[in-house]
Amino acid sequence: MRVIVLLKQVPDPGQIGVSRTKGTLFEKGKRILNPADEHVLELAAELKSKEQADFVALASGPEPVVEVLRRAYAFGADQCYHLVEELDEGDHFAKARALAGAIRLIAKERGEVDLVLAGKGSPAWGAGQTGARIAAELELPQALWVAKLRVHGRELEATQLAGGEEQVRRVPMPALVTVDPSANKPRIPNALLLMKAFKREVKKLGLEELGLTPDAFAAGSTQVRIVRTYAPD
Amino acid sequence: MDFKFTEEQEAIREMVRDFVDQEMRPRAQAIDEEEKTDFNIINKAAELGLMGVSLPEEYGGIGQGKVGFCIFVEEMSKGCAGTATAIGCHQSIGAMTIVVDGTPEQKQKYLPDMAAGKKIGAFALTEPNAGSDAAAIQTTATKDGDYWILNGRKQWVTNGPFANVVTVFAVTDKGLGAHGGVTAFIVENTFPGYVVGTKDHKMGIRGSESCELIFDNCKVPKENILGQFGAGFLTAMRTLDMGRMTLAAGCLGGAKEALKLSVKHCSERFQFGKPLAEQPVVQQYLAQMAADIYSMESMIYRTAAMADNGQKYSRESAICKLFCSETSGRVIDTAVQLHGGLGYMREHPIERIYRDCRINRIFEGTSEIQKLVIARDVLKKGGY
Repeated sequence: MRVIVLLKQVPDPGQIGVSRTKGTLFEKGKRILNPADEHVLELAAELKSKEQADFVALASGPEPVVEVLRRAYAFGADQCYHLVEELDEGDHFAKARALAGAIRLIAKERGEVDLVLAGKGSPAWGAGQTGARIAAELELPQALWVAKLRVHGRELEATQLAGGEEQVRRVPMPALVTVDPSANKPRIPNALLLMKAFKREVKKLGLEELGLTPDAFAAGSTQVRIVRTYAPD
Repeated sequence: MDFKFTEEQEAIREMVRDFVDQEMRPRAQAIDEEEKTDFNIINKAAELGLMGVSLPEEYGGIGQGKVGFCIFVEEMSKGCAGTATAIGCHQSIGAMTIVVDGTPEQKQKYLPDMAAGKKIGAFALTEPNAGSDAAAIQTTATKDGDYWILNGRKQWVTNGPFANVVTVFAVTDKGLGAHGGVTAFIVENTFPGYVVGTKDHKMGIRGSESCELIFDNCKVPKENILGQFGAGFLTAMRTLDMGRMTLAAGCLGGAKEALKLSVKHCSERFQFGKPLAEQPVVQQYLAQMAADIYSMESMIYRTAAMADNGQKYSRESAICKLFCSETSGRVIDTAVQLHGGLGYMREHPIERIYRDCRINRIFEGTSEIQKLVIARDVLKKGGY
């Protein structure tokens, strides 16, 4: 079984503001791993020990993104990939297209991917779109906001929470699952793994390698246009 | 001059902080009541690699050096000074004697199990008649074929009730005195004649158990002589250089916790129609506490960086121990004052922190001994 975990680096929610005069977002502190993604890492670490899964992590964005991939190594990831790009963070169409391309490339390099795991959403734009859009790009079945996940051979049993009820779905693999924070309590990573993470190699990928030209992300091709940002009253 | 911590050091701090928040702080009050070292916490720390933060990577430690180890002790001491003392002692004066002066065989035999937390370390120097006057120890070691036979009593041995590997200092030649006549031995708790004595009942750091150790014709193999024969006092002093600096880091952690609690209390407690924090006299207290903490932090990490760079740091380590134990005592005393009656109540953590911090001016060399060490060095080599 091969699992690819998608990680996102986000502004620290306590360190973000909107300029009242310019209407632009500004960040004060260091960026952090999307808090929801800690639960994704925990699930991948559990699948690694229970199902002997090959645990691969992928994150995209500019250079500092490497920091969140170190966290994946601390959770026991076998290999991390960094897709280096500077796409508009609010454009989840473009992000999903780029990440889907990277997943295809990793599958070529490492072998077929059985499960793509992503967080429920992030505090960056709060759209919660990227996971579902990647599933669409890759034509994978998906289960979103999953609180419990079991593996039965080539099938997943995914329990979703819906309005106080549990909804159980059986999804054939390969599939994409987004993880609800109620799924688990993330572990404190082992100090030895945490330190070794700084010495592990993160493989770099570029958009050209994925066969994606700048046209794929040109204005009008991604269906997202940010009109205005403003501070809440 | 760059005072930035490395990314690795920041990562360790964050990880230990999570461990303290989840495992240590919530148990601190109960541990104080129970007066026992909490082995659930020790075992969890071991699983996470935290029993070998200071130990070299080649022996299964995480090789974080002195700066990393001070960060570790500082963070742990915020949550529970007693547990921090048990874990800190194991790695500093417990295992460090073997790191400093052990042979390759001794390191291979003991350090991997100590780094994994499978064996707990301790350091036995103090005796009923030899406290500050450590050279007056009376425990003897006499040769008997391939063994040395130890006889005597050590007291107030931190981790003594459960330690597996203890560095014991004994007189091997009375005529030569402290320098030449004292030898260090690695003693396992399974050696014949090793007896665990009465457990101590303490004012504070009650999550750290200590006791008397009795050596009643205790048979120690000759290969367990640690360091040079007759140079045990040097082993003790070199180990204490590190112990004193890390103890200062523990003082810093306690003081930071006291300031944090004080800020919270003074922001939430209303008197005369406004929060205490708006009273100028309270702000003066808080400002002095912050300034004291900044001074402590600066000297500890400067000294730890000196040690990691291979510089001698005996004087500086003694200065850290003296200044930080005295200063954190003052900071924590102020915190009790700011909490008023609540600060005197068992239900509030600041009462425990106040009791916990008092020992810092006494163990691993009293303030008076630190002054002696510093003054001798200043008189010998000059000031700054």
